[in-house]
Amino acid sequence: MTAAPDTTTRLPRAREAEGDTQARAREGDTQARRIRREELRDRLSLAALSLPALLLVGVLVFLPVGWLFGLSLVSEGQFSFIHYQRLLEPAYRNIFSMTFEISFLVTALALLLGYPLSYLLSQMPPRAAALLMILVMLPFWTSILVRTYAWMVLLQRRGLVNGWLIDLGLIDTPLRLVNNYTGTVIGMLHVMLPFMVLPLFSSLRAVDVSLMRAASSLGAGPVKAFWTVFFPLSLPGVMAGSLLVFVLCLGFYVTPALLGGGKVIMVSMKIQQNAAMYFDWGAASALGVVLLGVTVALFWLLGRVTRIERVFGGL
Amino acid sequence: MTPLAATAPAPAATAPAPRAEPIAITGVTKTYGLFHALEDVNLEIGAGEFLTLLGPSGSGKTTLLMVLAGFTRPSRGRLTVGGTDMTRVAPHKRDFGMVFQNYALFPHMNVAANVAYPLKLRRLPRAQVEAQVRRALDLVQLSHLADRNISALSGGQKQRIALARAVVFEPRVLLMDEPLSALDKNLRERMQIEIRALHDKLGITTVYVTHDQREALTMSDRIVVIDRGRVSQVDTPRALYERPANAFVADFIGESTLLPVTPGPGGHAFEGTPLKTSRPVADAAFLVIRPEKLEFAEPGMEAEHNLFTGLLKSVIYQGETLLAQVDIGADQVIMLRRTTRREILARMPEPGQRITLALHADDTILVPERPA
Repeated sequence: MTAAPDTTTRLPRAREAEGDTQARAREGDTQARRIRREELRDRLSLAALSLPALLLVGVLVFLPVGWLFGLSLVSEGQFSFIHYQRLLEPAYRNIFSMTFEISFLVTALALLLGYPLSYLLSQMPPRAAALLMILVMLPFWTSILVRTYAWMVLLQRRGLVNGWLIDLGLIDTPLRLVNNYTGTVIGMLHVMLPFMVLPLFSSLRAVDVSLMRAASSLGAGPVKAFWTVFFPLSLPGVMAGSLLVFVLCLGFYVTPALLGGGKVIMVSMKIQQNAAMYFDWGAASALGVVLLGVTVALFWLLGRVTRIERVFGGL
Repeated sequence: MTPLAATAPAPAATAPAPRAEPIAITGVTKTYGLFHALEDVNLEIGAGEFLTLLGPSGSGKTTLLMVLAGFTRPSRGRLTVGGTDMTRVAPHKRDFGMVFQNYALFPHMNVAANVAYPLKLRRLPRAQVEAQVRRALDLVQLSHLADRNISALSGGQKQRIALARAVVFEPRVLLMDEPLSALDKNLRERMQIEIRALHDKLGITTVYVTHDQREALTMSDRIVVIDRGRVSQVDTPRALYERPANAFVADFIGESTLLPVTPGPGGHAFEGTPLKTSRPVADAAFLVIRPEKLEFAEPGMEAEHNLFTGLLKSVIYQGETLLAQVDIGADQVIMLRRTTRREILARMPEPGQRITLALHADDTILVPERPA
């Protein structure tokens, strides 16, 4: 967000060099050359500083991804698109549409629950907000596996939730809350909520209070002021949170595998199946590449509709 | 006579617009726990008046403005505008224009949309919205920026757009909360004159908050000096400067040296010497010396002047004026300000010399203590 410092320092110096009279032109020329040389050296030294990090990212990210990509294009020792062609079969198509459907639903529900919560947090005094934030983060610091088993206990036929609902007289027979679609969505939503609340909260907190006051002084009631001023300004946070949750959902494995009861098959589970049960690394890699491709495409799309650095600037 | 007082705009120089309404603040008190942010504030603001709330930070001037705007509910007291009680009316139903310190322009709307915002809320027909937006932008001379993004505006431009937005819906009252404090000095001084001219053109009752006393003197019909939540003095700029009501006002407005005085048979005296003054004050505690009212004593002056003899400690050249410090004994140093005109520079004694200064009886201001 800040302007590159080199342009601001270069301008006056460059103008100084250009402003010289003809008699001093040559002197100015050498001076300008010297400045350019210094700048080049500055940039090179900056590049050298970032080299270790670049190497690390290169080795840890681009190498495996390249490897994955290569594996997906090889079948029985030969170059082939067979793994990708098989993804077009109805069975795989269903898995993909199920994955997208669940991810979309969980993202939408996380936004629906997370927005009011983040709004409340953003309007509270910082100390109280920090305290409540710990409550939001608490599940975040617990193992996903533990939380998922906890949900299985809570949601089963004679579990706590069904027990309460029956005791309250809301239902007569226990609801099927686990080992199905519903269970998967509840479990995933619980895991995903902090990922929605964190970017949303920082984005909502950044909305200037005086803007709401200004809207009010100009004649907007609280509801009108929220929808015309606050909500539009919180959209970067909404985008960031939704994207984060959606992408994490696409590749989510543990919770759907345990709470879905085998009825909800997502891409990640198919990858595990292909790799661990059938030792079909090609098929698993192809699935992974498609997931990666979808994620990159989503970021690209987001970059088209908003300035991406603003979306994650609040993080 | 000070040049400032001479050029200060005369009250009600223009006929008030039909919309101008008087404001009455009666017994307004605001407490936060034990802290009194405002204590029994009573003010009558005339229709079309430009009134400034002036005070140091934390004095309660912004709290009072927030009570006017409706963002702060007073613990006690009443606020009426044009005769109707507004004390419990929600801010968005007050129809008051407000300009904020940080401009508070909506960053997701362009200039025209910002100015059109209050009109659209009032569901005016599109053609009328456009006409009024154009007129408001013309008023602040920025119609060429209608399609600009807010982030592409300079500070001064933002302030003008905020002003246009605050007046475009012809509000009953205009409130301004230190609107110029973020601008640099030159721009600030230009905007002071511009805002005052805009006020005179619209004739709208305006309440302006600032901590800058020169800004207050430049712009206002009347100034309310607020000290620790209470109104210390309400007066025209000239009266405030030349007849401060107490030591706080004298010290806060303009430069001054306060010398302790004691009551005596011949009026109040400083260091045993009775002071000649054309405005005696019964409970006076201090003599207020404005540096620019002092002159070099000449023979025969003692009839109408009070004389102070002391050691010239230093002379500081400040461009348009010289500022000199004179040690008059009894641990008191008084300040003397003179213009840098040629003949004055030529006559200026060297530091280390003893000089005698004269203060005319009309300029000899006595004030009581700062109220507890």
